[in-house]
Amino acid sequence: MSTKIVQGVPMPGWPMRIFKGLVLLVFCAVVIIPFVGVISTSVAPNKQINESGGLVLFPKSVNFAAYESLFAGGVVTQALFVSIFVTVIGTVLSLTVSCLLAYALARPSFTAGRPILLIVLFSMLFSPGIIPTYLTVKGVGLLDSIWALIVPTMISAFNVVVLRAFFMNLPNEITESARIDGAGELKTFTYIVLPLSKAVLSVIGLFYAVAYWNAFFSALLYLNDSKLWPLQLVLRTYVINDTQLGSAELGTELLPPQASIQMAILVVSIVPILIIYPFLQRHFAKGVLTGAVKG
Amino acid sequence: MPVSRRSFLGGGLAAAAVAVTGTPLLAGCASDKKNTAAANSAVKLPTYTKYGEIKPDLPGTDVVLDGFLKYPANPVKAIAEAPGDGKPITFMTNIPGAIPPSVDKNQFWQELNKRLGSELQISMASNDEYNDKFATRIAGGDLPDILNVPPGTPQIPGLLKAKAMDLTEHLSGDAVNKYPFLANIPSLYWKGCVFNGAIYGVPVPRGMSRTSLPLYRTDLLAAKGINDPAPKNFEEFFDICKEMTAAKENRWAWTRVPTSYIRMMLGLPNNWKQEGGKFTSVYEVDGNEDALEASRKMVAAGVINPDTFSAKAAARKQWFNGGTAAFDYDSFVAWNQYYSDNTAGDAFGVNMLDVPGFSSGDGKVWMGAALNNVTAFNKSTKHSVETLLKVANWMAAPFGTEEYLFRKYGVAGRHYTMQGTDPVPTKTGVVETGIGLQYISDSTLALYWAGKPDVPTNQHKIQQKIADRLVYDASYGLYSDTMSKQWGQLTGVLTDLENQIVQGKKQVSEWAPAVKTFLSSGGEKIRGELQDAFTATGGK
Repeated sequence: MSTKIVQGVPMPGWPMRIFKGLVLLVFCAVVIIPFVGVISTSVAPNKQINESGGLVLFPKSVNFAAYESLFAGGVVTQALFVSIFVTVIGTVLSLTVSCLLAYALARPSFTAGRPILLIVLFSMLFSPGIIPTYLTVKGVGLLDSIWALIVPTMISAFNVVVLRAFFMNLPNEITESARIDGAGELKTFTYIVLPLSKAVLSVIGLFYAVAYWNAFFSALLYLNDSKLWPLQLVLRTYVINDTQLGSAELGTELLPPQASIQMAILVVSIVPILIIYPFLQRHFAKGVLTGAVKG
Repeated sequence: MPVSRRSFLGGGLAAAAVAVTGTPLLAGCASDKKNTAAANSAVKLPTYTKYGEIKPDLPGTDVVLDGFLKYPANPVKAIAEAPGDGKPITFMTNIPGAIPPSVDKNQFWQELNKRLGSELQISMASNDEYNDKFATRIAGGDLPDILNVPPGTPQIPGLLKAKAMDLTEHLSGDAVNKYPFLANIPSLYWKGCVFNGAIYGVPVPRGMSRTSLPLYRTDLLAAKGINDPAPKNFEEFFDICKEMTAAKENRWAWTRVPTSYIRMMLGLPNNWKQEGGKFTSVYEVDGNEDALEASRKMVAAGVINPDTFSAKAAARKQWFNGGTAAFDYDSFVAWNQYYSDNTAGDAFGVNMLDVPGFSSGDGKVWMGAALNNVTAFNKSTKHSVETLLKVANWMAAPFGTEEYLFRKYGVAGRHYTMQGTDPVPTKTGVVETGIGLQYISDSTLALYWAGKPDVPTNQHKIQQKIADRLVYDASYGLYSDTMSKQWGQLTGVLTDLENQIVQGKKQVSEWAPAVKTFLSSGGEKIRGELQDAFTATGGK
């Protein structure tokens, strides 16, 4: 029997192909089973969850009581809107200010560029700590304001460095030709540079969006009114409040987090980002690598 | 309030810095010489006057809690006028459950504001995150009117002195009678609120309700022919555990290793013991090796759920509720909680096991921690101290009063339905009432479970049985600066080693050197501080 050749590479025999298939199947299972477990447990009856020790792969019946309980009372729904607001507005603002800063730092004609770049890098290496940041937020009057979730983290030094590297890599000829045609810096930036930077903007936008979506600690510190809490902080109270059983009142304590509710929370918190991800994925490798290698 | 640089650094920021970083900030400046044990023991604690309007079905004692078979048919309206002054009152606390709806969507909260006569603005954090929030808010000088201060807060005397009101003249001795429900809190609990020679807070009492012993599923044991188990020693107890284990059917006797219970069998101290002025920690006494060896034997025999070492409390609760395990080591509070989570139907039953001696006789029982937290009032508040104390008094109205019924269950129809005279919480009730009111102040807890009179009956019975064998933590009410800063870290090392030993990954013989390290790294210093404090109090 002759060996089949595909694109110049000899095809392995059936045993090897089956073996490779099995190995891939095992890896897929390792990745997929936890997801299936999370989704199945979120819709499984409590009795089955208790009897199976906390994780169900094949629910005996499907009910959405956990999701109903999660969205009852409006706390989670409201938090969802807060998170969407913070993520969308925060990402737009972050991209705007990061691009403006990075573009300025990328221009060789900008004389103060180097010291400003050093300041930016310094903030990447040394973080100010919780209490000084709190005092600053308090000092500028942002306590108990939704803007406390956006303004203190609006610029990420890492993202600025990536953007700057990308902008520096754009051919000078293009920006020079724009200038010859009479375009100023802002016009060059808006009409020439940004359209050429879609890949890196998608990636940096995703970075910012994921960071805003997942942030909970700033809300914990800066927001007393739980009405302004984002989804992740609200959901954490369901998931992590199981340190001790004896913390509540005799007879009237809150129901503890049930596994189905915890799993429903996982689904609710990861689905939005999972939905966005495939649309940006094609830009992902290109955007990051282009920015990272040149410098 | 003018805050000098020194008092600011010495009080709040230092405590916060310790909490956040684990490192004392300007320790020299922060020391508070007036927080002497002699000054603290000289404080006259509030006089205890038991509220006599409510007659329990199962009367308690100074340690046994009052039991009620059903909620009194006509709850007493105990406080005539609203305690608030019409201005908003702010409060910061942890909450034990999921975040409740905000006030504009929470009818319980809205009704509470009406009854209080002031809008209560609550800043919440989950149990795990409260310490971070607390430390940051303290350091930021941004405190609410009423503050939930966890008992383990580092450098608590300096913090309270810098930031909290001295309540002594309003509460000491008979002065507390102006607030009858604060006077209804036994004096023992007030001891934990005394710092710097003054009363700096209101207690949130727990004690007996937090006393932990093995809880067991009566239905599962009965299925194996075991009714009213009463092992006479460790071996008999171990036999029951083996009987209740069928690993092939995914069933184990225990949710976790009951090392604390075995320590009680061996008569080991509750945290610290004091004899003739000498303090000894539970870790250094003889018997620890025996307890570890016995625990190790249980793990090796496979009577403990093998996932226990990586599981959290929620998972253990599921095993117990689902019948995967028949025993769990927990408190009277958890006992009730198991009924509220029950998914096993009407047959489901829970009871508590007494402690036998390890070889024979009776074991000792460790009394639960006295306080959940101390509630302090901000020195700079715009409210009068009387207003804040009246609010705390309202929050401490006991079981059987109309105030208690509202505080714990909400409004009839929306938050609970009546089953006879018993209020049964609705789902809305459970969600809306969990705003953390119990951490402003509270009465001592009552034994009660709506619709199941056998639950308080059994609870009362076991409390009576163990009452004269309770062992108290001798360090309660004595302040040790080193303990406030290092206790968690020091005991964490020993707990890790304990887990390794019972799993068979380390030898029991490694315990003794670890205890030596514990003592030399801070244990001895803590002992010295506790002994000095005890001597200064004259043993009071």
